[in-house]
Amino acid sequence: MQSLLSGADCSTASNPLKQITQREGVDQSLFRDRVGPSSGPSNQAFRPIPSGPAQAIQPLRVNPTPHPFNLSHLSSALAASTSRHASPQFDAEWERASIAPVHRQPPPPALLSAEYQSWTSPSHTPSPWVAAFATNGKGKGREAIEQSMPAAPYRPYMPSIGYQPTFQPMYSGYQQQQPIDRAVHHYGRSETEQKDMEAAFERALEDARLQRNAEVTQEQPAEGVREAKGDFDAVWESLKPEAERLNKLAEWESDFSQFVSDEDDLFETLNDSLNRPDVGQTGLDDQLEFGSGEYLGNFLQSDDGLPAYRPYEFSDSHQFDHMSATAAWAEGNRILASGGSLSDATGLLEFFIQQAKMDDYNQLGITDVEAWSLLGKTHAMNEKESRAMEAFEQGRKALEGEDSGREKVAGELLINLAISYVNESLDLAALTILHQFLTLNHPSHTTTSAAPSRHAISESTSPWAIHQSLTDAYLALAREQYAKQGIVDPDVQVGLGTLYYMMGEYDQARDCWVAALGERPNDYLLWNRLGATLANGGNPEEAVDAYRRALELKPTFTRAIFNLGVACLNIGVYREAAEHFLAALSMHQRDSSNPEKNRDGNNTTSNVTGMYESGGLWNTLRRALSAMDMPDLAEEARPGTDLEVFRLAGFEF
Amino acid sequence: MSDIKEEGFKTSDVLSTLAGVFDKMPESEKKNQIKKTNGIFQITVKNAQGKEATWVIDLKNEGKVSKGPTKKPDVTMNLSDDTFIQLADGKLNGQKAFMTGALKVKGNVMLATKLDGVLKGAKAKL
Repeated sequence: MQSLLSGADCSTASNPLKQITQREGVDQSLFRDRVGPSSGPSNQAFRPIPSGPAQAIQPLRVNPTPHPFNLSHLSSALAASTSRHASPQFDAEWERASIAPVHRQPPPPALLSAEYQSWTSPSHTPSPWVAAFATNGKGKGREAIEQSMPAAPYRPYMPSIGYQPTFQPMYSGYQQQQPIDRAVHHYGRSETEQKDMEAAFERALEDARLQRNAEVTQEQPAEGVREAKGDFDAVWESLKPEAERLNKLAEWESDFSQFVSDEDDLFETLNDSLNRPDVGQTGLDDQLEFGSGEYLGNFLQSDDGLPAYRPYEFSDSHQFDHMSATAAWAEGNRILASGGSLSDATGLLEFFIQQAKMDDYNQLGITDVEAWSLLGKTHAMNEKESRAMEAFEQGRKALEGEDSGREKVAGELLINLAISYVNESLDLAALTILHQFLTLNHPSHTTTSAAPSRHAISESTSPWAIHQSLTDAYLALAREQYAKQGIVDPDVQVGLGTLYYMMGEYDQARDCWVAALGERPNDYLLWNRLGATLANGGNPEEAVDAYRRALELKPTFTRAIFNLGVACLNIGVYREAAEHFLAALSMHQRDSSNPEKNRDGNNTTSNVTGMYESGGLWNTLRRALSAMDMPDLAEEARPGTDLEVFRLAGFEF
Repeated sequence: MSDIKEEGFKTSDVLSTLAGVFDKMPESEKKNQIKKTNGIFQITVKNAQGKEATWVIDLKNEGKVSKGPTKKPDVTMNLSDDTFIQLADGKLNGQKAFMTGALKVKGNVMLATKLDGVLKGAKAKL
C-alpha cells in the first residue's frame, strides 16, 4: 500500500511495468496480459533475472505447473462450462487424461498451432513476440509464462502453449517408474519371491526402456533432465515434489468429479431460474428499478435495462440571474478547481445549461455534451447519484445529435454513467452503456459481443455470459492499444475495472484503477474508486488511505467522505463513521441553507428532491448511530433534520 | 432479536444485526428497499458441527428477518456458516460461490446474487 500511495511512485508510473516490479504479491495478471503479445521492451518484463537458485531448481521447473489436469485450462473451461467452444474439447481431454495418462501422447501439432492461433487472434497479425516464442518456446518465454501462472487468476487468456508436449513425457515417466521402484524394494526383502520379482523387474525395466526410447524420440531436444535415465533413485528423488503435488491433484480430482456430478444440478438450477415465467418481472425488472420511493416513481423497463428517459429537473437557480451564462460556466469551473462547494458548482452549471445559447457554447469552445457530463460528474462527486444519472442521460441524448469531436467527451461521459448505474445496482443498464462506449469509440471491438439486453440474457446459457464477453472485448482492446500504440487508455481501464468490480473481482478491478492512476495520478475520482474497491473487497483499512488521498486532492469530495464513513463503519469505529456521514450531509446542506435560496417561495420542490437525494446518507448515518447504541439520535437521523441536533449531541464535523 | 439467534452460528449474528436495521428503518425507506430487491430469500446454513438452521429474509412483503422456513421463498440457498460470513464480508462473491458449489441455489439465481447487496447495507460507492 505504501508504494501504491506515495506520490513519487505515481509520478514515475508512466511506465506501468515499473509498478509491476515494485508491487510483489499483487495480482499482476492484467499488466502481463496486456503486455503479452507485444514486442520490444515489453519482452523484458517477461524475462526473469537469472540467478543461482533459479538455475539450481531448473530441472524441476522444466516441468512447469501444468499437467494433464492443467488447472488453467480447466478453469477456463469451467468458467465457460456452458459455452459452446470449450466443452467438447475439454471433455475429450479429460477423458484421455483421467483414463490413460500413461499412454497419453503429446497433442498433435495441429492442436498446438490451433492454440497458438487462439492466443494470437486478438491482434490478428502474429506479433514478433509470438514468433520469438514459437522458436524459443523452450526457453525464456515459457519460463516467463510459467512465472506469471501462479499469480494469474485471470485464466481464460493464459496460453497453454508448450505445456502439454513438454509435460507428458515427464508425467508418463513418473507413472512407469513407480512400479519399478516398488519392485526394487521388494527385491531385497523376500527370498521366495525373488525370482518372480526379478522377472517382473526385468520386464518392467524392459518396458520402461522401450517406452522411454519411444518417448525420447518424441521429446524435444531441450528436455535435458532426462539424462538421469537409469538412475531411478535420483529420478525418484527429483520427482518427489512432483509426487506430492500429484497427491494434491488426486484430492482435487475427487473434488472435481464431485463437482461434475453436481453439474447437472447446476445447469438445472440455472435453467430453472432463467425459464421461470416470472423471471422477467419479479427478477430483472425489479432489480433494475431504482430510485427513492415515490419521488422517482416507476420506470418503464426497456430491453436494454436503461431506466425510461426523464427530463432533467433543474433545481431553482434564480440567485444566479445576474450572471451571464459564460460567467456562470467560468465560476462553476473555478469552484470545482478550487475545491469549493460542489452544490454551488452544480447550481452554476445548471444555470449555465438553462441559459446558454449556441453562441455561448461556441465562445467557450465546448459542447452541451461536455456541460452535461461535467454536471453529472459533479453530482456524482457530491453523492447525489440519481441527479447524476439524469444529467448523464441528458448528455448521452445530446451525444446522438453530435457529429464531430464526440469521441473526446463521450468516453468520460459514458464511463461515468456506467459507474453510476453500477452504484445503483442497475447492472444491465451499466452493461448497455459500456457496450455503447465500445461502439462509439472503438467500433472494431464491438463485434465480439452482442448488445446487452434482457432478451440476450434469457437466450444465453449463463446469466453472466454477456458480462464475460464484454469483459473480453475490453481486455482485448486494452491489450491491442498497448501492443500497437504503447498506450494505456484510462477510459478503457476504468471500463474494464468497472466490469470486474460488478462481478466482485476486486483484485482485478484494483489493478485497473492502479493502471488508470498511472496515467492520471491526480484523478481523485480514481483514488476514490480504488478505495471503494478495496473496501468492498474486504480491506477497509487499506481503503482509508486511498480515500484520504482523494480528499487531499479534493477536500469537498462528498462521496469520498461518505465512503470514508462506510469504511469506519465496517471497521467498527462508529463515532468516526457518524462524523464522516454528518460532514458529508453538511456538504449537502450548505446550499439549502443559503439565505437567498430559502427566501424564494418556489424552492419547496428542490428541497424535497434534495432531501431524497441525501436519503442514502441519512440511512447510513442511522446505522452508525444504532451501532453506537444511541436510538434517540438514530430516530432523528432522517431527511430534513437540522444537523445542529447532532452537533449539540457532541459530534464534531 | 433473541428469536433470530441460534447458538453456534456466526450467520445468526449477521442476520440479527440485519433484523435490527430493518426494525429501525423508516417505512418509506423500507418500501424502497423492498422495491429494489423484491424477493423472499430462504437461507439454510450448516455450521461446522453439521447442524442446520434456516432463516428467511423477506424483502417482498414485509421487510423482515425470521427464523424457520417459509412456504413460498423466491430463492432457496444452501451454504455453510463460513461461506455465509465470507459473502457478507465481501470476501467471496456470489457468482464464484455458486460456480464452485459452495452455494447451492434453487429458484431465481439472479435474485440470489442480490443477497450480498442486502447483507451489506453500507457499501462504498465508486
